[in-house]
Amino acid sequence: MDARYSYQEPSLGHLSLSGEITIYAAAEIKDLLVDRLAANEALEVDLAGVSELDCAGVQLLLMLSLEAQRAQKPLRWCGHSHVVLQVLSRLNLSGVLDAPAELVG
Amino acid sequence: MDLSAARDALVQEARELLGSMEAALLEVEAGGATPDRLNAIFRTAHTIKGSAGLFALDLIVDFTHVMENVLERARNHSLPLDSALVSTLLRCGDYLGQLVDAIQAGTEAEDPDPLTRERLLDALRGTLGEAAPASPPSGVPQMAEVRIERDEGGPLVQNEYWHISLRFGHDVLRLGLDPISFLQYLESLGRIVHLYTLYDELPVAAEMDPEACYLGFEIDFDSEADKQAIERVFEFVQDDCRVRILPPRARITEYIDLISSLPESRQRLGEILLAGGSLTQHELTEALRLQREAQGESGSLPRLGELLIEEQMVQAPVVAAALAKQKQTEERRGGEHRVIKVEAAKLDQLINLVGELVIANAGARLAAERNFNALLRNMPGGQAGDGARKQQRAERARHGVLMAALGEVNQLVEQIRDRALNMRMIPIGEVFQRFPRVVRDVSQELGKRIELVITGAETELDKSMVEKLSDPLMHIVRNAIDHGIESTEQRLATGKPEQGRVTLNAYHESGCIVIEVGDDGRGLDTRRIRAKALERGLIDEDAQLTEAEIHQLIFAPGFSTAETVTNLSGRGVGMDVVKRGIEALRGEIELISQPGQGTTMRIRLPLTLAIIDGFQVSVGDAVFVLPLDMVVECADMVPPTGGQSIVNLRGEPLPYVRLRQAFDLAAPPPASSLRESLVIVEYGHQRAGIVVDRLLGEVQAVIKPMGQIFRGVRGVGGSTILGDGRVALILDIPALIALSNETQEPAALRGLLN
Repeated sequence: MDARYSYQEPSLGHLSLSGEITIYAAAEIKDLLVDRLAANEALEVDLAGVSELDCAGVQLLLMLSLEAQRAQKPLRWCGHSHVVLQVLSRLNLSGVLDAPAELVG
Repeated sequence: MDLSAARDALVQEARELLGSMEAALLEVEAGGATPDRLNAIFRTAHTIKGSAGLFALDLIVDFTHVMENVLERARNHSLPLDSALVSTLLRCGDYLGQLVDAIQAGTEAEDPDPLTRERLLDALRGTLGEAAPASPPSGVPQMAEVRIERDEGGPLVQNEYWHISLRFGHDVLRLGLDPISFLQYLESLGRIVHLYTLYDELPVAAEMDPEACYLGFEIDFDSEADKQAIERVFEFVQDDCRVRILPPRARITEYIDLISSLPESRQRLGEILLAGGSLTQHELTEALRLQREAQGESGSLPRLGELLIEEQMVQAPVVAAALAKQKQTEERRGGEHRVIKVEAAKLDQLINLVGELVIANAGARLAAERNFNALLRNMPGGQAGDGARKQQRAERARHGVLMAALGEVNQLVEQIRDRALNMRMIPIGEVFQRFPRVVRDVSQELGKRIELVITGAETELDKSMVEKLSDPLMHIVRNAIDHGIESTEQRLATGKPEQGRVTLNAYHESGCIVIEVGDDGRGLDTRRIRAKALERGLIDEDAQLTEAEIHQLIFAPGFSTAETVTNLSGRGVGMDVVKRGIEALRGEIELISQPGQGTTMRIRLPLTLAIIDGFQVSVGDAVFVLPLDMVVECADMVPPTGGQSIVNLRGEPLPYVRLRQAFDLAAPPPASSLRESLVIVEYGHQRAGIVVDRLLGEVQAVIKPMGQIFRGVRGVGGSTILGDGRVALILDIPALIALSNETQEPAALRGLLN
């Protein structure tokens, strides 16, 4: 898993997740997500580079989504890669994680 | 989970399964389709599909799915498993074997043989079509219909789909199982109409274990499969997942049970079921009302555990099947405790180290011996005083203790060596088990009726040899059926039973494994073999050959006596290849043939290629090792009879070889006061003497392969390293026996006897 983190504006953090978002790096990803959410007033997560996503990965995304709700911080998902769209569509979770409804291919 | 390891496991498992499927199919053909056999066949096809599904190997999943449909029909007797269908299924097994090979080669995305696949699928679908000309038009499976007729009480819901509730256990992900792959696999059975992912159990971040699974699914599923088939999808996680499956048009009470058994609240579940279309609003209201009534508004909801115990919804056959499966799973688990799969390379490393240990141990003993001898030499001589004698006694005692300790180590090392080698031993049955199929196919092709009798399948030999034996044996068996066994008419004409018989037998004999392939056919026709050999220019017109020598001609390259060339054998390739294959394993083939009674090929092979118990001898400074198993006795060399290399051993003539001459050793012969020694060796039924300077005793020899340059040296089988670091050559006894026989004319033997 690679993660790139950058500030776009003082209050909005931008987090890029890429590579394999799977059980193999789950602990590491969890810490990163929790940490970034805590450090920002709002967060945008870019999923464009995600090449693999398993159930452990999906759970982490769901967790972040729930945590953001609890903390009342705006959270935005963007750039869903093909793999992400496929998994979310199969699990019928597209709506929960802002995925575009139509899956091409 | 290491994927490549899992892949290897899959390949291995699939091959084993294909093997047992083939065996079961052949049993069906031979002894009829008993339910046990049908179940075994179905199970293997299904398990292959299941494992392949986990790896998303669609080529296998789709194919086995069709096979399964056919087998399912056969199992419930709506389709006869006749010989034609068995043949098709056997070919399906072969094709699956190709797919498995592709997995191993890493090319599983490509179909290795699309043409065969199409043909087989057509054949399978053809049988399905004939058996059921019109498939049921609606999406309602037959089993559910039966059940509706039988079940009484409780209104039925309108939902025409299966409803599946899944709650995965926390450990699922850690076990390397991804719920998504089960959904993928489920889709191989039908269509997921609606799926709701539940993550209600997901705790707050601080408490969440990122590697635990908190997910559950509510699925509406459109499928023709029966309940068992759907349950089997989740077989792999049965211990780590709560699975509830409701059939299409289930009773409303079944949904009530479902709702009460799940951890989420009634309202939440109700919404989910409603959203997915599992229940209509009316049905849901009715269900909740009935549930409240049943509980008298006061009682708490029964928990899942209790409900599962009282669960009534499962049909009797399903229960029986589940119990049988559980038993099987337990047996499998028991088996896992008994058998550990180890990578062959690791075992080889271990055996290599054991070999080094044997050498090092011999070195330690030798060093101790030398040390003691030097100590004694340095002590004062015979006329020494009491003190010196005492010291000598003490040293001897100490040396005795040391040697005893080393002896004990030696015994343990020997045991470790034997156990280590034993780990590589596998029963020859692994090779034999391929033959029922071969015999079946070949005999069908040739229109001969043949019975195969296998004995001694439990006889063990080195795994590396098992692999190399398969092809030579295959040639021999085909040859026996093709050339050995007569046509049915010929057999009946000569008063033999119509059914020919081929036997495979194996046993251990003096450090060797003996494998016999026999037939009760016409036997070798020496006249015809001779004529053919003449025609091929293999022998001269006036060659004087014994019967055995004529028999050996069939191993000559380019030899074939078949009057009609079949596509099985008879092309004149084969027997020479067989012979070379066996010789490469340091083995030999013997032919026993009785005209009109049959032929037996007896293959004799060394048990292992790694370590032997040896007997050390020396000529001059050179040390040689003979395999101890082949040493019969030792004697003082007596002056030879006449000019021939033959000695008289207790009135029997014994040919011998002088190692000094055989290997052209430069060392001068020992002084005439020292007699040479004669080691009498035996291989098969042949004996010979080997003349050496000195006998040095037993030794464990770790066989080191000979370098390429020495491959051609006759009489040397390998080398080994002695305890003192010197290299010794291991003698190739069969070659030396042959050499001893060559050096004299048969006339000389006869002369000696007269």
